[in-house]
Amino acid sequence: MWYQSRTAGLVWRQGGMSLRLPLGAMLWALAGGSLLLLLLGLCLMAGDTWLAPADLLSLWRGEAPPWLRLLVWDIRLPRLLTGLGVGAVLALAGSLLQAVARNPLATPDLLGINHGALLAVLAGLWLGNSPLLGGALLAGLGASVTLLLLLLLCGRGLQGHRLVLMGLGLGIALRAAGEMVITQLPLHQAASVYTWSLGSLLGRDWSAVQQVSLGLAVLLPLARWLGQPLTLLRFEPALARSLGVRLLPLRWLALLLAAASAGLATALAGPIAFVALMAPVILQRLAPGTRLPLVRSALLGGATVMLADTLGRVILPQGELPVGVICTLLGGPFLLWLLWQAPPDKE
Amino acid sequence: MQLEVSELQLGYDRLIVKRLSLSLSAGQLMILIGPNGCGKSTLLKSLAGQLPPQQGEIRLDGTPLTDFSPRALARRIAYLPQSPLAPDGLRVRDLVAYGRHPHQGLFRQWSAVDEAAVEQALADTDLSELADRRLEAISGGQRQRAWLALALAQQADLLLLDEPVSMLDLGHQLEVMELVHRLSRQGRAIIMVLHDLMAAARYADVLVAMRDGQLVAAGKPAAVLTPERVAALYDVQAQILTAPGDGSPVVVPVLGQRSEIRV
Repeated sequence: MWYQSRTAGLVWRQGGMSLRLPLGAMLWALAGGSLLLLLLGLCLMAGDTWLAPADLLSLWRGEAPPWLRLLVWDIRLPRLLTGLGVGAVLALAGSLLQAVARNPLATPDLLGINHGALLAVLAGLWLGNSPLLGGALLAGLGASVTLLLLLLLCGRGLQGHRLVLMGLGLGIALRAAGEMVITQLPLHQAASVYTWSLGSLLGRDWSAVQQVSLGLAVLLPLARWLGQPLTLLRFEPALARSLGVRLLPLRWLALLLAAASAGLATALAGPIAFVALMAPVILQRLAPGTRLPLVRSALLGGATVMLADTLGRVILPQGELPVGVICTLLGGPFLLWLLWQAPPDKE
Repeated sequence: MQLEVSELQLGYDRLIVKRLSLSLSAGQLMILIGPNGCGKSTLLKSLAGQLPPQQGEIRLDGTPLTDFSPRALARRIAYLPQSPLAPDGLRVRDLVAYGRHPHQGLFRQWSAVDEAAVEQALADTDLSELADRRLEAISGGQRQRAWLALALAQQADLLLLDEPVSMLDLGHQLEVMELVHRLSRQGRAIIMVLHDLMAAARYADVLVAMRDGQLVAAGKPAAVLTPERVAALYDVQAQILTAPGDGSPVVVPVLGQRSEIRV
């Protein structure tokens, strides 16, 4: 049976079971999803060779010439989809870290976690010769170890500015270590690795799409499942506990998911900054609700990386700007704005 | 509901509460008083199951608190920390709805009981009319009542309130104290920390005075609040008047006794 609750919106109840249907959030996600498809089409057309809608249509009908099929199916589409997935995973990592640390500045890039993942993959390259894209596990490990190190450095307090400042310091050190490893690599390897270390989606193929969609299929439902108790972390810990939240396992699980997400994103696209900061913060401003907007943040994060990557492909007359550079160009001012308008001393 | 605290010792590095025993039954309003740092808030936190005893025991209906899972405990005990902060953009009813969290699950997201409990909590706190307003848009007293409604929606039979009126002016303070008193008359057991001795004396069924982590006195307000006791608790010379109306004790400090402290 369907009920309209004044508190919970649309609810379906049967026997002892009751499910909420967050209609507003679903409409948002639906609208965002449709917009995303439209954007995907536009991004497919953009590039060195601009395509017309008719080209896409002919591709759809299977009447396209081989060069067009190659360009769209083998080059542009997998790259765009990887960007989409990477952005979504980054936004997820950001949402989780922000919720646990109760600080919007707690994101995998500002806390140095992405750079930990980067260093792990680079070290793998240097020591053995593990492939760049096969480094997802290594990157996840690097991200987890960095997070653990950060927690150790911070002592027991997970919250407040200390965490962010420590993370900034750790990130700088890890970045430097990464650059040191790059200088030790053979020249032909170092060049492509350097681009990747700036955050780049150049040459991502369907195997990358496969990895990121597999990752999303695991990480997103798990994060959603933690969503409700994570929402309660927006209150002070004593109140969340008083409402029956087991703080310790919740925090560890959320951090583990965040590290896995950040590792996956970094393995596939290098350390892309600020997406994990922007997407959740924008959504929480636009649609403050009773739950963390995890899915919608992921959609926005995906759209951001995809658009930034496309922008990087077309903005220069020759060559391209790595997506990481574009995101940093956009994200820097956003961070300044966030710091500027924050109420003084909220702690 | 029967709460038994026996020989409780609490602390972190050093002892904060020492060998403290008390008991409370349903329908009683117990108010904790004492100077800053005397261990009142620590005691309350421990009663909420958030600080395990170093020694001694807290039993709820005969079962030690440490035997409850966090969710099970949240269905029995609601704890409101001092001046809690809410995230932005919540309506009053959204805040209250969070109180249902310990009763919910993956496939039990919003039952008829949840709905009824929220409406009842809103009605009990006189907030039904304001339920769709945002928390930022209501007065401090109303907001404090909304927090109480959150605790009520938990449908716990023991409420623990840490200085729920400390930030409120006289009118709003009265509004919240009357509500707390009414809730206890409806059968809930309530323990609250209060700094205002006059309000404490007026509303408490049991007044508990603490100093240096130890129980100094517990009982009816008129029996607890004597000039000697006030001096022992706060190092303040005071006279005790009797309030017109209900005859509750009113503590009036003697003027000029701390004149060695100059501004």
